Amino acid sequence: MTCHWTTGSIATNTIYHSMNPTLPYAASAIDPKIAARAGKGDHLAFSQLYDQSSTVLFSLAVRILGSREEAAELLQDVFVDVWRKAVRYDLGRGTPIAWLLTLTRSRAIDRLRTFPPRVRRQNVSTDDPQDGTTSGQFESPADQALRTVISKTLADLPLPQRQTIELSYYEGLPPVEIATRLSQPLDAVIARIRLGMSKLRESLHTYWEQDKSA
Amino acid sequence: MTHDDLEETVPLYAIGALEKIERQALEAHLLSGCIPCRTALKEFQSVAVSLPFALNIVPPPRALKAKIMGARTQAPPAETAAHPSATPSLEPGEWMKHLFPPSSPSTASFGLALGMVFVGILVLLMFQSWNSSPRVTEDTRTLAELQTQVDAANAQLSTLQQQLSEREESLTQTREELQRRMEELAELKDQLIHREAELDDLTAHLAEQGGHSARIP
Repeated sequence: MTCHWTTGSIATNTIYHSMNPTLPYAASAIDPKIAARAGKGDHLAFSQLYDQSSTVLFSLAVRILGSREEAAELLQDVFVDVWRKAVRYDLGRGTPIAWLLTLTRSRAIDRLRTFPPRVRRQNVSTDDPQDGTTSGQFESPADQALRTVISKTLADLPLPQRQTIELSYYEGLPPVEIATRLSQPLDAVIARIRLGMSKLRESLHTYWEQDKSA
Repeated sequence: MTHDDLEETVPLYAIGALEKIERQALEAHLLSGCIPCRTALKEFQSVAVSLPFALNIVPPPRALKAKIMGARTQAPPAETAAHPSATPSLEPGEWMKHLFPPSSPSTASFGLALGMVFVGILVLLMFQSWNSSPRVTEDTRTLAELQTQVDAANAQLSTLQQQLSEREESLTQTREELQRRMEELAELKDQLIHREAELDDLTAHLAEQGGHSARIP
């Protein structure tokens, strides 16, 4: 499993949204105390952690694994490990949702590497996420706002940039494998990831600033 | 690699697209205290964890929550026990069982029962010898020999029980020592996590003071 630096993330937004009673269920605004208490045997906190995060985590697991059944198994493993303290949240790991997303992604990609994609793609569910489009809405306005911004920015990226980012993030492919799969030079793949990520960063920067001043 | 070279690898690192050598080089650079790179990394990591919010929304099955709630209290799957390497570590109680023979009270009870059987036989023999007058002298000698054997067996039994008791005491002390060490280890781990969190806060604070603060989603 790849070990990354801690994910700084939705910290300031968490505080902002958690103080707003109209936005109680945002995945992007899970109170760090809820995550900490869930890992210490607090049933209510655990239940709330699941309610707030499960939709985005399940969507991510389905996108990576291509199977609802496997995604459900994975999510069960993640949450049971949280309960049994096999994995533990602390502030150094960023916000709770960043921690859970990183954990879910790492485990899903590990599973993806264990079983060949051709075998697992036979079980792809009806909701095929391969087309890169987005559908549906989050119940929480805060999550929906983030969704709108990131979706639009991704859609505005040139297709090769979006493609390389998705292959890297959702399939865990290193640039050299992406280059082989797309029949592109390695340098071009690296440059596309770097450019795409930088554009996403700029767009989100604007969104974060607006959100901060709102 | 120069700072600029390393800075260019930050977005790739955040998305998990760096090879091991490059990853280690960047981690060393970050550990050296490069604030701009650490700030950039936090932002790029925030970008990475924002990506799933753009996916097709697939709600989890309704039954999944109840299944997870139930699975929390179940014992870990049997395959975990069959493959100890898959688990983070064995519980101390588990591997202690392999180091020391089981110290069940049944051993002591067995010795006691054995002694009682000997005593029973002795009483029976004494009774029979008392009733058989023609062979009194011979039986008395036999009885004396048996008595000697019983005494020897009892002495041996007593030694075994003492050894068992000493081993039990030693085992208890070892367990207590192990428990104390485990507690100290857990405490150290908590302190380490706490220090890491404090370091992150300080770094963020320094970054804000240096005019590099940014809003993180």
